[in-house]
Amino acid sequence: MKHLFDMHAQATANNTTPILDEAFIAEQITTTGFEALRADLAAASWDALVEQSGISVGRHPRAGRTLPPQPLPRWPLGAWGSRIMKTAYTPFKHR
Amino acid sequence: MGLTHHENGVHTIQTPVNLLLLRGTSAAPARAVPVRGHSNVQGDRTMGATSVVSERWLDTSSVFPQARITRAAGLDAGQLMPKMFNGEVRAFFTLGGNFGTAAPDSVRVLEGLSRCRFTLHIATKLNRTHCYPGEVGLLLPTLGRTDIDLRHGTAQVISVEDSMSNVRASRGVQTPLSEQMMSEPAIVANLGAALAPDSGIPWLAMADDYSLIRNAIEQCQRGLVDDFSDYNRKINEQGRFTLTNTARLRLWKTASGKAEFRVHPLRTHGPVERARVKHGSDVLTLMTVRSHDQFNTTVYGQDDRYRGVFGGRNVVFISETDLHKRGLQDGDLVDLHSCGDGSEAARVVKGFKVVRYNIPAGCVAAYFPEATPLLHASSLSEYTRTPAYKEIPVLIRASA
Repeated sequence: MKHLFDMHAQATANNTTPILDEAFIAEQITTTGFEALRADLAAASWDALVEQSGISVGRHPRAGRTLPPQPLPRWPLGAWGSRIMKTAYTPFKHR
Repeated sequence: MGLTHHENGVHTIQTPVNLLLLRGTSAAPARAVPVRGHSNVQGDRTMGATSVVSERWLDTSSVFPQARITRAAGLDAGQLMPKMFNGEVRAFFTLGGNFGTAAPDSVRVLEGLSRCRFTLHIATKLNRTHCYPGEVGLLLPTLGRTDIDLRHGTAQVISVEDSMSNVRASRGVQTPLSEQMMSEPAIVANLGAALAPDSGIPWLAMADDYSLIRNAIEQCQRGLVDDFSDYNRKINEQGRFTLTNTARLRLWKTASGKAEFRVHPLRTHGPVERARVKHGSDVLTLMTVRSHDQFNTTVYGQDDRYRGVFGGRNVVFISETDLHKRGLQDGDLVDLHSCGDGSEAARVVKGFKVVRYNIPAGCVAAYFPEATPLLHASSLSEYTRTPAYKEIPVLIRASA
């Protein structure tokens, strides 16, 4: 997210496709939360982010950059139950 | 589980939601998936089967006015463990599961089960928890979801809620192992008939016709989850329906009526940081993982084709950096010593085989539930009391 904010600032400056959905944020999200998030990310050090995420320094900015222009493809982003894969491969293996 | 099994699991979930909101993608095409557990857990929660049942839910129970239903809160698994350790919990009744090994501090939990006066398990498959029956232990084998469930000649249909909030009809296709086996709903209904015969609940009729249970659910859910209207018709005709998710509709149930970012600064005092203050930089972050051949604590085989590990599960995945640092080699046997909070009592698993793996330095992984003895029973996620299974501080020592 820290990188997205940087990319967004760059996109705004270059007049290219914006990274953040400003219209959505303005319409549907409380502005105070957005500003708090921006401030928190600005204060977070890259060293701490790299240490806690487990992604190495070289790869970190790229992890942010892999986000394509909107709209995003159908990415499952969340905690998937392991059941999904299990039922696909081994539905009745215990029998 | 990767997100929830942390001390700050709620914050860990809220952070990717921030990301989705930034991109304006909380609705299609990308969205957060509200997984609350596997199908059984998911459906249970929608049905109000939880330790703290809301007053609104309890009020709908007037569908059975004669039934006296307690309004006192129960215990969740995290609250249960200390009461089991100190002997306050005397009876233990589970529908499925393998609590004794799935729980953190599993060695102490199994001891606690042994001290119970009475245990009762309804299970489809034997597991290790059943080996700790306490003074009087009953084990009732039940039909699996794949078994044909005949009640007086009529095959019954159950409904399950999947991870995507779809409620689906489920019918068995296999001949059960024995004609004497009953389904979980039928066993529960029979227990209800024996324990609460004057409740006005038609237990035995429900045991023979699950559509009566669904009718009662529809009545109980009225005004709470409207999606259950016409429950039986939907299950019979459509075979499934999807529960409403307001975030998907961009309806924000907040005070402001808008979506809200939840901002959480990076932690500096997590379980591993606390352990490193005491034990130095050798402390590693252990996460528990599932193999290919398992579903939660049900282990179907000893192989893990996800990670190329075959023929054994007592392994620890470790980075090349950490291997070299400790003078270890791939295949060496090591002991894992827990060094998290409450480590005054030794929590150790022994003789785990080292597997060199592409994992960040400072992090190691071992299988669940083999590594559950390492987590202290109080190492739970804030707010939800989910065990912090992805963040166990450990030290590695070569096995003697």
